[in-house]
This record gives sequence, structure tokens and C-alpha cells, in this order.
Amino acid sequence: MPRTRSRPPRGLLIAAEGLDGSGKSAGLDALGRWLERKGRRTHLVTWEPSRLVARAAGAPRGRQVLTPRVAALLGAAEAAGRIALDVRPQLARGDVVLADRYAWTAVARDVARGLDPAWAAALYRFCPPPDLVVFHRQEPAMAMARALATRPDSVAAASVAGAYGEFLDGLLAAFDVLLAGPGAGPWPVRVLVLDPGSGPEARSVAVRSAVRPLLGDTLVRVVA
Amino acid sequence: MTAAVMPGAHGLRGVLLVLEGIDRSGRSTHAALLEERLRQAGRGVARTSLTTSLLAADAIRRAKRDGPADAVQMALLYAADLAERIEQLVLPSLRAGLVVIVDRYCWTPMARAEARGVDRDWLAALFSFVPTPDAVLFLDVDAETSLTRHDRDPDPYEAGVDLGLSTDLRESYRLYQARLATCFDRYAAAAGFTRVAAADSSDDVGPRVILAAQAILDERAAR
Repeated sequence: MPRTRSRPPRGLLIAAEGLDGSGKSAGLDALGRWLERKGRRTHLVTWEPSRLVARAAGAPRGRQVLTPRVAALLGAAEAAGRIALDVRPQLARGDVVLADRYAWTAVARDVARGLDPAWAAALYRFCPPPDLVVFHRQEPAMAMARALATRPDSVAAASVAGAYGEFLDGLLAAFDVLLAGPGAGPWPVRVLVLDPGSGPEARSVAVRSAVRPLLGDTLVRVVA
Repeated sequence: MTAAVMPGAHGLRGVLLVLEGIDRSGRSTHAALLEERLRQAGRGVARTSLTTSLLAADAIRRAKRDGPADAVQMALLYAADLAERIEQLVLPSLRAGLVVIVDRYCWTPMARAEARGVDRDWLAALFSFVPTPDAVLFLDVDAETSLTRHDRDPDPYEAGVDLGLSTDLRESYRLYQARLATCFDRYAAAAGFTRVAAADSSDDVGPRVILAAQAILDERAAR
């Protein structure tokens, strides 16, 4: 926790993490509808690629100085702005924030680009810790197929499938480290792992049973 | 004059000299004077200042202008600014054996963030990538003296108006700069700053800065 002042009453923060095409968005949609039916107000936030990094990468001189560390810090700065705007106030109101990718993705990307895992994890300690991380396992081949289908330009620009495949392997390895122990990430966190083979119905059941016990100990707002 | 051969705490041939202090302590003035003096003495010198990076400087200026910015976000932008300048200028210059003068390093952004309630352990971890300087020359000026160096009203960011310390701009400035000074006192003890009395005119302070810097250069050359 980067803030030293006392914490306001918190809502609930649930983060979906995993590679492309692993079912994160669909899972959060279903969870959001279920929570709304239970009377909770929900907000979906997505972890967008950094505009500062994208702009730098688009100019020759920018590309030259855009090292992994500078990219990590610029991306984190944008994330901090988003969190101040779209996450903290909602949690303070007692709402549920559903994050489509969160700090784990950011840490894994930075580590896959060669930064020190301990530094990358500490960097993201400014993010409010999720009450639950739902990690979607996915085969790298599937993630690659999805990336090629949805973002052909960026995959091509990443100097073809070979380099991108290597990056995916790095991401997976970094996620494995995060999954292995509470000391590896920005904060200790409760994790639910979903396997690639499981169907949407089985996933929903698993997610709901993980979320249900969390609903009791959060602030429920009664609207008069 | 011979270049230092044995590596410093950063492991490289050059000498890394940092100037720190609260606002209007004379950091930029004395960084420039020191550079000029060392060049005259035949040293190869590189100099870099806060918020001059290609990728983060505009974002920092925009955030200050549009303020109040999130303090964590500002710390991260300052870290990006410093990281770029370390990678592009400080490290190559140190490898080449130059004297590198840095006008504000990690401690100014750390103090600005800490004064706004950001966790100091997190800030220390964030800035742990920076090479250890051979010396940090701390220009020691109290908040009151710093305030008298403004011809007009201080700008709102230097007065920390976002903290709501006082409705009076000058009083807010005093309180905020005093808060920064408290942070610097702690950093000074932890990192071993060299204090340079800097409340007098720059004509008096200049020679002190040069003397302190020369002592470090002599020490490095003797090693």
C-alpha cells in the first residue's frame, strides 16, 4: 500500500488475469450480471495499453529511448491515473470493480521484457490489492492464434510470430511465478485458477463460489 | 587533470555528482556554475536536469498544469523521466569517465510524493534502479529563505496548494517546503548527503559547492 493514511471502507475488487483469448472478458460479463442481480453496483475497468508508450514507439527517436524500464514506468504512471479515477472512488463507495487484466498482467509483461521480477512486482504495489484474482490458464498456441486474429498489425510489427511466441513464453513463465507464491506479486492475494478445458458454465460456478463468501464482509449500500 | 580510474560506488569510471535541495535552494544555478568551472579545469562534464527527458517531461508538465495530479502518478512520471536520462546520458557518460552533474536526482521526486502521503518504502523500491552517486551535495536553505527568493508569488505546485495546508499561498509555500526539508533530512542521514550552507548569496555559495565537488574528485582520483 503506497498510501499511509487510513483506508476508507472498501468495495470489492475482482481481477481477471491471463493471456489473450483465455475467456477473461466473457467471465467478467457473466460475473457482473450475477452481481447486479444480487443488488451490487459494478464497474468494468480494462487495462489499456499505455498511450504514452504507444506514442513513443511510433516515432523513431522515441523508439530509441523506449527501454523496458522507461516503458514500465510510463505504463505504470498511466495506470496510476486510471486507478485514481476509475478504481479508488468506486471502491470507496462500496461498489464492485471488475478489472479486465490488472497488475499481474503489467508485472508479467515487464518481467517478460527482461526487468527484475522483484522490482516489477514492487512497482505495482500502488494498485489496490484485489479481493480475488481469477487466473485464466491458456495454451500459448491459442493465445497466439487469438492475437493473430484480432491484432494482426501489432503481431506483425513485433517482428513476426517467432518473437511474439518468445514473449508469450516469457509471460507464461512470469505468471507461473506469480501463481507460485504470495511473496512473488505486488501483494498477497486470493487466487482462483481456471483451466483452459473447462466450459463457461463450470467456470461461472467456480467463480461464484469464490466470490460469494467475499460479498458478506463488504459494505452493502442500501438505497432508500 | 587525470580522469578517475577506479570505479565509484556505481561501478563505473566517471564521477556522479548530484545536487539536491528544496525549491529555490540554487540547485540549477550551482549545477551550471559547477559544470563551467570543471570544464575550465579541463574535465569532461555532462549535466542533466529534472524534467528534461524526451518521453516523460511533457506528461509531467501537463500533469502539473492540469493538476492536482495523483501523487503516485507524478512519482512514476518522475521515475520515467530519471530512468530515461540515466540510461541515455548518465550511464554512458560514467562509462566514458566523465564527471556527471545531476540537478535533482531521485530525492526531489521522493520528497514531493512523500509530502503528499505516498508510502516511503514504496518510493525507495521504485527508485532502487538508480546508480549510487559519488556524492550528493545538499544545498541547505530553510523554507523562509527560499520564499524570499521569489520576486512574485511562488507557483502553486511549489507551494503544494493541492495539500490544502493554508489558504494563503505564501504560508502554504512555507509549510510545504518545510515538509520537503523534513524528508530531505531523513534522506540525508540514510544516503550520506554532503551539506552545503546555501542561504547566502550565490557568490558565496558557489565556491563552497566547487570546494565540496573538488574534494570528491580528489578522493576518487586518489583511490
